[in-house]
Amino acid sequence: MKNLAGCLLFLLVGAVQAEHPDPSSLTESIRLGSRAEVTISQRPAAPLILEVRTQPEITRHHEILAFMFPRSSMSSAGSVRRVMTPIEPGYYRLEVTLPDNAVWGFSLRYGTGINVYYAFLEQPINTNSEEVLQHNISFHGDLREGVPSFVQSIGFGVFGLLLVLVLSLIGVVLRTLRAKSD
Amino acid sequence: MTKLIPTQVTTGSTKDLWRLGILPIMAVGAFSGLFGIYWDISWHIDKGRDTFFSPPHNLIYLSMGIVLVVTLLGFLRDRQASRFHLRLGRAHLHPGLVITALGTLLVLVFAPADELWHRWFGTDLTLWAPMHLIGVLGLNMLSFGGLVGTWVDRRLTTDPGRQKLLDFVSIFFAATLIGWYGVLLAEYEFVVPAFPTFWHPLLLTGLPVFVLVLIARLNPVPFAATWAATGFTLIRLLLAGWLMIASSVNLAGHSKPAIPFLLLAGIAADLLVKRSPLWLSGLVIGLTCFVTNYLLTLISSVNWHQGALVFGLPSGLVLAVMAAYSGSWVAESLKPKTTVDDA
Repeated sequence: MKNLAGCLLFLLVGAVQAEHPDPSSLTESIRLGSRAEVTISQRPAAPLILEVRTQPEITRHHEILAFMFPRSSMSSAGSVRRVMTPIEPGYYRLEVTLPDNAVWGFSLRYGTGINVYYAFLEQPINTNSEEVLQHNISFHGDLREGVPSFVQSIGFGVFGLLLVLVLSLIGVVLRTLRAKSD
Repeated sequence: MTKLIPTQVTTGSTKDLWRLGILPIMAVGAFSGLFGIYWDISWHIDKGRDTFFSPPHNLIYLSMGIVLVVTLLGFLRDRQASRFHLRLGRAHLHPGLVITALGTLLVLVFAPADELWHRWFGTDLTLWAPMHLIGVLGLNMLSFGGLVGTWVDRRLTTDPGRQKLLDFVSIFFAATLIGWYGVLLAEYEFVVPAFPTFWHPLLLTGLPVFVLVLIARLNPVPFAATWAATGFTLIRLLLAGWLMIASSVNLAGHSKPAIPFLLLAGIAADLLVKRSPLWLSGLVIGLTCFVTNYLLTLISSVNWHQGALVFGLPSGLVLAVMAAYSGSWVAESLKPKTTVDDA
């Protein structure tokens, strides 16, 4: 429950930030990521277009995962998840069909492993109208306070070492079997 | 096919791992582990990571605990002491049991480490967190150990009925081994990737080739790779059914993973491995994996965008060729040289 509460807190902070994008309003314990301009375009009988322009650009291999869910739902039922297509550095685009006449939450995420960044916004969707709406958001890091980001590299180093040891052991076992087969 | 020459050299009870009840428990353990992992991922996505003792965690760790105890007891109960057994002092260790015991030990030792990792560093909502990868490595070793154990016993027995049974057991372990490679891609199947998309086509093109070539070269039954791919698909369909039932009674999340389609790749492996150079087999099997699953992405939520394919496909094909050579090498180690060449 604690971690779930942590996630909800991030979403809540993201929601507050979407309304008040000034970084100075954040507490020091929250890592700031990129800022982004989010454009949501809706047209009658057409998929919704979600565009994100990050500033500064997030690195080349970072992608944005969009998690969209009806705000009225207390569970993830009816939610939609998509990886946004990178069009050019810092510019991501997604076409998606969402049931209209509901307020939808958009949780955006980029980063890898423990070093991920989240942002959140919400938007009423009405596909009967033609609208282009813009939001300014800031991404916030999920890494616990005081944890250096190289911790993840050390973890992968431990995994890599174990992988080499395991493969070596299996190699020795198989070579032994092979030698005894001849 | 050249007839296998019995190579049994025994010093006591000749009960094999199947008769001792060890192989069936390893098989159930591999199956439970796969179920537990997908259940766990679905739980994490929709219900959060609430406690170490969540039902999916309990299933995984309990089944691994049982497999570990049974394999450790197996070292005492297995008296075959054949020439394939590994000597450690006065002990003769069954190679399949060695690999399986180490794998399950890895899972259990790193379970608390995973919990500490989460507590110290944050939620780390990814399957590719270092401690998770160590766990998946251990689970892979369980299925691989099962396959090795089955083949060692297959070579030791002279009973045709037992040989036939072990042939099918080896197909099962090959199917679960493909399942573990699928687990590595589960974040992409659930569309919650925390790493770049190019890894998905890369690993899905390359990794299954290892098992498909391995089992096609071992050739325990005609069209072995096709059977292994079919077994994998059946396991994943069962798993999908379980997730649907469990979520309907609030015992799992709503999220369901996409199922990779590997049947055509299995057929390609069976047709090519015996007739073509390995590099070509690897390339064609990998390409088949890629094309069939690329077509599936067009009608699913998975987004293999152009940027991911530019790097993912060529690297995946290189991995596929390497995997074909590795799979073939492992097959040659497990099977008498004459029969592999024959195959």
